[in-house]
Amino acid sequence: MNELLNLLKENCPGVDFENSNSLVDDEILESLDIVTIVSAIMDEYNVEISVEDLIPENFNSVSAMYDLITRLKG
Amino acid sequence: MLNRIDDIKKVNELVTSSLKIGVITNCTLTPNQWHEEIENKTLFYYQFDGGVFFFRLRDYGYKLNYYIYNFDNIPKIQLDKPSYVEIVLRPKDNTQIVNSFENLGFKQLFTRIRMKNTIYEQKNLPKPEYIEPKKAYDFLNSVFDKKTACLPTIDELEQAEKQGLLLWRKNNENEITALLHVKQDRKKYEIRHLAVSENERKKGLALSLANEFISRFGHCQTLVWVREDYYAPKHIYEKTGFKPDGFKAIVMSN
Repeated sequence: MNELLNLLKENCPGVDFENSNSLVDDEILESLDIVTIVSAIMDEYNVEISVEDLIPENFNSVSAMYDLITRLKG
Repeated sequence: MLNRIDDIKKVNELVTSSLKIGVITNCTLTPNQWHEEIENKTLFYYQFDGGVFFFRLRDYGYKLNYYIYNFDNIPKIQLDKPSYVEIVLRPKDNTQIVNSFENLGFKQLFTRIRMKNTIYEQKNLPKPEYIEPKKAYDFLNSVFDKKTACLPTIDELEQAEKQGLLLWRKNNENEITALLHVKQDRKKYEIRHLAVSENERKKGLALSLANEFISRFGHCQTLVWVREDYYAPKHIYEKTGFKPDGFKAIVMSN
């Protein structure tokens, strides 16, 4: 999870990933920011994220993103 | 030249192959919206070495969405119909994408700015008066230009009506004279349309609807996009506590 956190901070500097479980709902992350994050995740973890996964629930927190990656890696 | 998409797998393949570091997009379609376009046979694409364009067919032309990761390779495509693209710029974004579309022959039509509300205390009000979604749909289509206005479907208006998110005013003949349509997106609201029929303007109807909205939902975060050159609605939103947040959307067509 720390590796993911570092990746997120690198791609979205200034966002407080550690202390929010409502990154999208509280508009800390915009929908267009999600594209930046998804590209970084796909590149780093060698997973493919489908359009069905591009939903707010999967990006509302670091743990949600971690769960998504874990699920995609099988 | 354009290929139709008949399966969500193709969408996934195209989007996934474009999600490279540095990619920019204007695409915020939900999974349901993708499926709907495919079902209606209105989704087309053009892939190039640098990204992909999605074209959503409408009776007036195409709505264009893009994923672009290499600006040097954007091709000039010959299209059989006019295309409309909305480029959303966050405060930190540069305008290179706008220049790229201008190089493709697109011209700027207008710019929208995004405004956010001040948070107020909730007031308890009775449910709004019922409005038939089809009538709301016809009214909005009569007031707005469907090419650039992102008009709702009747289903979306039905949903809004059930949630108490359609506020309206009527005349003595029970005809709609003004309408406010709001969409709820999880914890946030977005004012999607505020419309007043032409011969009922300058009577305070729009401000009255905006104030009613604030009374009902002003305790929640609300967004609204408004044309930069539409001073009357901008003024109404400012009067009810909305302020620009730096986001812009530039609407272009070829």
